[in-house]
Amino acid sequence: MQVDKTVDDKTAQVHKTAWKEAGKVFLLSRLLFFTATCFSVYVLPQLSAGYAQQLGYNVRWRFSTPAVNQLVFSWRRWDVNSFLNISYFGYKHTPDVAFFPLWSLVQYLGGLLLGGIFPNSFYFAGLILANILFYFVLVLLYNLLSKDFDLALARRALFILAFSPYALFFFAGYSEPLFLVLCLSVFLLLRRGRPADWWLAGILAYLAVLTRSSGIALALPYLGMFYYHYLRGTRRSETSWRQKLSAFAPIAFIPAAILTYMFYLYLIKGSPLIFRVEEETIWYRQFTWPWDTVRLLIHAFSVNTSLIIADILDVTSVLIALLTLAPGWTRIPWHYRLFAIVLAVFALSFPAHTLEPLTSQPRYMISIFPITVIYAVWSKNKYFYRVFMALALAFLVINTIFFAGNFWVA
Amino acid sequence: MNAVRVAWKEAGWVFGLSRLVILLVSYFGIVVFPPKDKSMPLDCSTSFDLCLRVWYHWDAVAYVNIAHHGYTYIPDTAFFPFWPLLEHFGGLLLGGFFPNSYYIAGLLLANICFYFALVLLYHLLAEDFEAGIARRALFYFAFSPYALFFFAGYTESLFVLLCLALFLALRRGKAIDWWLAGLLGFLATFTRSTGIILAIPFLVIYVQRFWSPAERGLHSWRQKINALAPILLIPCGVIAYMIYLYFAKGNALMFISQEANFHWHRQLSFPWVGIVSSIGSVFVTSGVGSSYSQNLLDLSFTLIPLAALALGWRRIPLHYALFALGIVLFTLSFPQSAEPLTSLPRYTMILFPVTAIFALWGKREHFHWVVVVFSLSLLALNIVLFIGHYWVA
Repeated sequence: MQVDKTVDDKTAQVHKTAWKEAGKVFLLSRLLFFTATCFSVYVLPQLSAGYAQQLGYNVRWRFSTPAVNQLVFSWRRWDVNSFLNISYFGYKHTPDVAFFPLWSLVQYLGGLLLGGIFPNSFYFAGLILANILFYFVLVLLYNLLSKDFDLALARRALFILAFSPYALFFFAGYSEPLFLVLCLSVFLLLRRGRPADWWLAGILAYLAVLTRSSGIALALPYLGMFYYHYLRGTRRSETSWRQKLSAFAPIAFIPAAILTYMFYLYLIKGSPLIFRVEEETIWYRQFTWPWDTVRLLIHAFSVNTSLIIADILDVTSVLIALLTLAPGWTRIPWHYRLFAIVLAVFALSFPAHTLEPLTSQPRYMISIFPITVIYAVWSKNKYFYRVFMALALAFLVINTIFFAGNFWVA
Repeated sequence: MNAVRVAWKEAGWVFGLSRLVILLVSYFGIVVFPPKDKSMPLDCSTSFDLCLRVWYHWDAVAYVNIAHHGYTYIPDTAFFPFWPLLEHFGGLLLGGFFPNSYYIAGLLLANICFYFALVLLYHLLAEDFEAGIARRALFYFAFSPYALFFFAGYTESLFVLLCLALFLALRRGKAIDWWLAGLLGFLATFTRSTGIILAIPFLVIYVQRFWSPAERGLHSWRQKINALAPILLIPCGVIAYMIYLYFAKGNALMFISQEANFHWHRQLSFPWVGIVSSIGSVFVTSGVGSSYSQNLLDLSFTLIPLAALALGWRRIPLHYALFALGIVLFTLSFPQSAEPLTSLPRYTMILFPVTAIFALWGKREHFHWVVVVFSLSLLALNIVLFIGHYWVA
């Protein structure tokens, strides 16, 4: 009894620390985005006509409403616009069906709470919700890693995730924070493994897939943890068939999410697979074998266009992610490994058949939180930690300036 | 591992990492970001020379000109001669082609000097504080928001190296060290007029070493005079330059008149004049133009070291504190008319006593991260601005 109480006290302490640690990292990272955005919007256009042109406004402005607008709306870029349109108009514009619906739906509800005025209410709702969700991402990540590893590693992981070079997508109104918060919740529930947790994990995985198709990668850690709790060694005989079935059945929620979206598309567009068709025809993304992706890359590098820099950045980011997974493989639990490898393979199997084949891949890679965990493990070495943070921070700032300045980042 | 090896190693990796960050940010700044008044970024495959010269802006150009032509352009006399002299010899070693040999020599020399500055900073702080503080201070120093000027062909690296060497010589305090400190003070003043402030730590250490109640009777008059006399070498740096200007240009005070009359319009004022004027500019200016942003940054990075110095005054040795205060007051005493605190962030970034204060406070992890995140972010932003030929400091 006494032992249980001590364990409960420790858990409560970890939960309390998680909110605090996450809060500090969250605030510091938001301050960084605010500062870099101010620089991007207020300092650079004063000096560079080209930059002002990119932002789409006259250099000769004053600190009046338009200037404040430039700051406030400097995060309304790229996919944010698509999510905004879906949240207000639904899938009227057919190519938007490539974006899975949950994030837009959440944004829609948030937008209604903020007055329902298009686009402002929905844009602000997206920004606010993405940031709230990212705060929860940090809290959950801390909780998960403090249990699977230790407190110091969990703290380092928060910094590494919040200041990674593409972490700006945890600030913008993108689907990344929602997706990650759902994935981490699933991991925490699978870890605890009480009877109700399997059903809850199934429902959350269902929501993750409704957010992004790559959520199906959650099926593997689910299976892995099911094996761990029910089939491993003596556990097989200690649990009944009924318990096993009750824990296994919710995995069906994962493919059900895809089917739900397909059914919805069938009802509104007459074609359940239209999201695949649009991905192929508008974004030129289609299933490709790895060697064909390499061929696409060789072609992209052989054609000298301005996209070559984007290609270099994409390839570097992807290679770093993959090269981290390879040697760091043994440092993380095997259900982390399965999740990471499936998510990476899934993302890389759908390159764009354009001159930037790995476009957006660096952004997809930031959702693979086991990579962050590997960095956090390696960061026990203070030299590695400092090198990582110095480079990550520098690139995060550069990427933030570009994104706020309406340049393509990922 | 002995202390010397540790210092080389600690300095080595901070130096390597900071250079890597600067080079990477520069590269992506060049290839993605359009330079000033251009709509497209540079294409290094067709204009390699332009890409090579992305660090050839503002004062770096003036130093290269002096290194090659001497003081043929009169306003250049505002720049003291030791750095361009070194650049001149470096440029000759690299073939003597103008401007590339001198520009590259400037870059190489600035970085070599900065590496040695880091080694000395580690030594000094590890002895006066502890190894952990020294290690943190190196990181803060190399990644401070304006640390790009330790990379560019500016005088900052050389100046801070000479100041640190003087502090170390004073710390050791053998008979010959006072003369070495005097000589280093001479060279520092020959690099930048602010070097004259080094007389203050010299005097403080001298008094502590020879005139404190415990020490007073332990040293002979000869020893006392031998240690004090080299202080005279410090102002000699300015005097030597004045003599040169008198013979070369017929006016020993030409460097002051150029600072006052050329576009710098720097004139002797009370130290608070620049700050008050800058605050006025920030609040009075109705738009958020480039001068508004610049004033705001100048003001922030003048007040931050001042505030840190005030709050951390008791945590550092007296000669550190007085040296830092002296440099700040000296530079504040010559504000510019249009942008009162222009360049102040660059002048104050060499204040290693302020870095030491931050390193002491950085023992608290949260403070450490706030410093790291903001310093590195602003450093990256400033690099992008500088290589795009925008004014930074």
